[in-house]
Amino acid sequence: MSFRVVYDACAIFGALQRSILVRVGQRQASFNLRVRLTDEILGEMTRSVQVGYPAFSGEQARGLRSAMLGVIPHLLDED
Amino acid sequence: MSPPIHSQTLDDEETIAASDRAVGLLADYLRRHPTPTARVQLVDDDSPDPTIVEVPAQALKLFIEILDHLKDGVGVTVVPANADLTTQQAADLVGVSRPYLIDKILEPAGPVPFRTVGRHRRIKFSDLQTFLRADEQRRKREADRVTRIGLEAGLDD
Repeated sequence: MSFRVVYDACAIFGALQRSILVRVGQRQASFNLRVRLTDEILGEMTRSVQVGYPAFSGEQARGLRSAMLGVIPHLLDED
Repeated sequence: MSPPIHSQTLDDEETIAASDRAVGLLADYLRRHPTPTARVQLVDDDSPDPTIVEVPAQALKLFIEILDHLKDGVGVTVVPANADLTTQQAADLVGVSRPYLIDKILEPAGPVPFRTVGRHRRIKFSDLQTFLRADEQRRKREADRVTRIGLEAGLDD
């Protein structure tokens, strides 16, 4: 029995907290968690980051999105 | 028939503290007594005679490793190396649902081979382990990339 967890956009907005939560997601099986993301959440996060930090490029936003989905499965892929 | 797979997680302070103490004492003992077997004495408070059990030192090393994870609150699963897993057992070890395992991780869509016994799929633990190790490396690289992009952009919120 594992806990289902969804990281909402506000939790992964800040770079430091995002990095920490992604590390938890990386080891989710050991923590008995099923961490998931959705397109809406990733979209809201990258849009907010680009608004807050205009230097953040579209390419970086796409890289961040694909890297996060490389660690944490998409909710709809899974069930 | 698939062998049983035992999983355990500790969640109360008393057993976690006991594991923590045991790891140190056992590891220290094995360092000082590098013999092929060790004798373990089990003491029952209600009985004057302790039970003495001789166990292989190798098994004791595994036991220390198990305790080491348990004291950190990390769940441990013991799987025989030659185990044939059901799809549910394999899905649990990977941490995904059974349909996801079948659609994305098992051949032909994914890298992990399986054989069928009647109508059931069976996965060799060693094959799953190969996948898990590679996947762990891949996920670590991706997690590093998440951190790097955050640093590159100077997002020091």
